Amino acid sequence: MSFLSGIGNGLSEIWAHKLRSFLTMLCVAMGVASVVISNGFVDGLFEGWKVSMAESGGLEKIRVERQATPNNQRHLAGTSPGLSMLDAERIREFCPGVVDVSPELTGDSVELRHGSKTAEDIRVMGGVPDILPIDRYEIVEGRALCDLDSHRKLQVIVIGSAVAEQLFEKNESVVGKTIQCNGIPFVIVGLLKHYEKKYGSFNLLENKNRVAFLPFDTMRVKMLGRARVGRILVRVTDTDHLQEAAEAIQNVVTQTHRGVKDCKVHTNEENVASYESTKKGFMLVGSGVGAVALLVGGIGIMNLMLASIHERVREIGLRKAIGAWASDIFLQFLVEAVTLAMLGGLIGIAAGAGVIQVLQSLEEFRPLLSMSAITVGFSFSVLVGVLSGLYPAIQASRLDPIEALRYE
Amino acid sequence: MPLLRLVSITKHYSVGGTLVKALDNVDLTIDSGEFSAVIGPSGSGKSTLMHLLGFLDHPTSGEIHFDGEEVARIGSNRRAMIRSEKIGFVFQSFNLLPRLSVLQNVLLPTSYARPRIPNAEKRARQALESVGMADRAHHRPSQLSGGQRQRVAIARALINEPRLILADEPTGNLDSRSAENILSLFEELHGQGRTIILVTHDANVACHTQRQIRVLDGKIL
Repeated sequence: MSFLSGIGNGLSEIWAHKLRSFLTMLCVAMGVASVVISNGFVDGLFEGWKVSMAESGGLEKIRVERQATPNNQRHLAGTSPGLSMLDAERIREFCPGVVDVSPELTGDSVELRHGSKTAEDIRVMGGVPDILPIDRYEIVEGRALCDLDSHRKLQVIVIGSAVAEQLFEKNESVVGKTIQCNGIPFVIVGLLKHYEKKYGSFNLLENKNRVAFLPFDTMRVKMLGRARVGRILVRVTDTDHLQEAAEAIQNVVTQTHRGVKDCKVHTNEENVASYESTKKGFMLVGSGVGAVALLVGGIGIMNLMLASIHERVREIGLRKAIGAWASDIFLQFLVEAVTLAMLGGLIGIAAGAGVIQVLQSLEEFRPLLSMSAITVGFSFSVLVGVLSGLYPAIQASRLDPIEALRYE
Repeated sequence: MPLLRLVSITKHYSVGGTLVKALDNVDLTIDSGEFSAVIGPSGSGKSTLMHLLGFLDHPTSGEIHFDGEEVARIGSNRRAMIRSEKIGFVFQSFNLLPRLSVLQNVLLPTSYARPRIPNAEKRARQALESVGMADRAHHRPSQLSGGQRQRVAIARALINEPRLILADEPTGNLDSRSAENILSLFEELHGQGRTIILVTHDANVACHTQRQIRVLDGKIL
């Protein structure tokens, strides 16, 4: 008996007992649907996270951030000059493999205005020209910042697309226009590319559009009036030796700070690691719920198969009498169980896909329907079919043809 | 020429710890082309003999020569192959699968044939033709009368061109007219040179055959 005719046989058995088969399949379907949906959520999160990580510098980006001085160095805190331009210069000078370095100054509340319009929710940063390649920004109009801008403390600004959108008309040329930053006039010299990666109706990269960059010294002197740097951003070329690069940077910074460990070097690898563990946690919870539902489905299938075999003892006897081997009977019932489970799996995938479609149209939930989720869901259903069909199929294959034919 | 030869066949069962000698030192030869009946009351060993003749079971001791081979101690898969290739079964209660059409029921044995039978469907239609059921190929068994169902079952027994047709009380569930029809069908098949064994307790059925093999208390009389 071929596998295909076995499936045909299974389908006709299912059709002959529609209600009980459907109820059994429903359990499997729910299990598979929950696997597909939970996988979809995790994949969606991971996908979005990967894109935003790549677009904000990727693994090549290393950050030097301030941290609280350790307790045993409290008394030395005053001797450290703190994070400053000096650190950036030293890193560039002493750390091998570093291509771009920029300090980053962040204005707490910088208001951008043009005429009567105000740009809301914009991050205004000061940095040296390196800051754009580190954060992977591209200029589409005008020019990037240059060293001379900072040196002369020129009042020039490079803006993101969200700023242009809020302050100017659509399709209006912005380069050369003057806008007010906290009342101080700045000339727009460059416009950044518009970044978009849709995830449902949500743009994952919207943050990259809500920015404006000023020359480092212009920001420091004219906007903030202080020299403290928020953090230093570094780009390295060789991601295979990220850890060595991070250590070198840490050493240089600690040296510059006279041994006071008030700064810490962070790599995006740490984020990857913490994300991976989060992802595993989500997967585990999702798979756990799915596994329970599939277990219930599997028990249902086993129960159904045992009942079905009980009703078909004479059929089994007849099949054996006309030449079926024990293995033929075993396969017949195993394939029947797998067919049942696979149908349940398909229903589950369809239901899962439907739920994901609906959720994607909502703002808050953004799961993805991924091939891997479908494959995992479907494989699970086949596995459940095989496992739950095994025992009934063995029982059926062991029936003695004489006893089976006599069975009333 | 002998098709089937049983030599000193014994079959013992253990039922609840007591030994039952269902067949005791039985010798029997069936010739090719013979139409015979195994008759005896229930408990005589008739059914046990049928199970051995149909390779559904194996003897406790003795030899079985079938179609030129000694086959008393072969394994269950070999027995299944002999049943598939060389034996056609007809049962008292027809044993047609209710969800399959008449044609699919007749085709069922071909799905277990090793190697596969070419033109199986054509052969099934010929078998149905030979029992006069060709026009019912797409009916369900439930749409047929008892006599018609037994004809379909006979067609199923014929499809693999068996060396031996073994019919266990084939008229037991039929009214007398249908029974007569079925018996004349067997006579017709015998006329075509087929070897047929009817197992029955009914002397009226047995008298249609050439030879009556009487079984009583595990022995052939």
